[in-house]
Amino acid sequence: MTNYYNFRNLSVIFVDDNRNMHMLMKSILLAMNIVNARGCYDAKSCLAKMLEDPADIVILDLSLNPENGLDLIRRIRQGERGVDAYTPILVVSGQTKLSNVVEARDAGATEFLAKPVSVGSLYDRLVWMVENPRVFIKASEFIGPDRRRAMRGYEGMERRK
Amino acid sequence: MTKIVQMEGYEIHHPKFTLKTKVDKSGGLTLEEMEKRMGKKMAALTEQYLASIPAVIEIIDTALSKLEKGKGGIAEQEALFRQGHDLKGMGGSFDYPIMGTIGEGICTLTSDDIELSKLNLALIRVHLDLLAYVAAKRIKNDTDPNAAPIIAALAEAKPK
Repeated sequence: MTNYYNFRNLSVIFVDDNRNMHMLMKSILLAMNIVNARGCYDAKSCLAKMLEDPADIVILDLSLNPENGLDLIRRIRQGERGVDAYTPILVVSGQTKLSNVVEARDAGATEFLAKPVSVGSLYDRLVWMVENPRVFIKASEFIGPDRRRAMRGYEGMERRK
Repeated sequence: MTKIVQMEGYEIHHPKFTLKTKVDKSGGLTLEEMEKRMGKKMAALTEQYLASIPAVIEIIDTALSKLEKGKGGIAEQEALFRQGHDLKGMGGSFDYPIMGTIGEGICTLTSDDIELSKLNLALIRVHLDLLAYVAAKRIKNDTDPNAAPIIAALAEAKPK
């Protein structure tokens, strides 16, 4: 019998400034049996929620009006206000140029998923993150998952088509 | 506790907890079951998304009209880009990829590397009209019989 990962115990925080995206993401996570999903619209409430009850994974958009998702990634990696700096961060963004992916990686993102998002693409990326944990590198100018092991990038999306 | 290995000029941290320690290796749903669950909700979600499009059109029209009258500035350009960006990301997610294509076009026409005075307002207006048409006719993608003129117009509506 084939076994499938049970995500039920995962705690997720997702950050996006768009109400429709909240609706969609909450439904996708519920469909994946992730019942402990908290949404927030900005960096401040994300950090507050992380402190209140640490998340196992943070899913965020790069374009947070008026903030920048990259700044939020850096603040988490610095452990601002005592949040867990090792929290896996999945960027889900419509900004899909190579430069955007590289910027996210250099800020400390764990993985990158291009919008449009679906159950299939998110599931694919979560399974990848579970099965391929990355060590963290702390240097003078960088803290985050080891960049020498590439993020999955677009590969998963292409496979799902 | 996190194991830390000291290297020359940097440290390697091995966090104690990984996602693997937090998910069960069995008892989960198959992807097919997840997609089936999601499929049941998708129609209602799409309706809510479509209900939000008139407000998007209004925001784009307001910003674009100001620019056309010479009264707009960077704030209007950014507002257009933001709406285009959201359409690009969400059109496909809500099963309306053609809206995503229109959004991508708006992003290209309003990105911050284009000077305000050089914005192609007429082409942005074409994209707005196409968005209104697609929303009114509920055209999802290029397989829709009503999509042909939209596809042709989008192909034409590229900066020369």
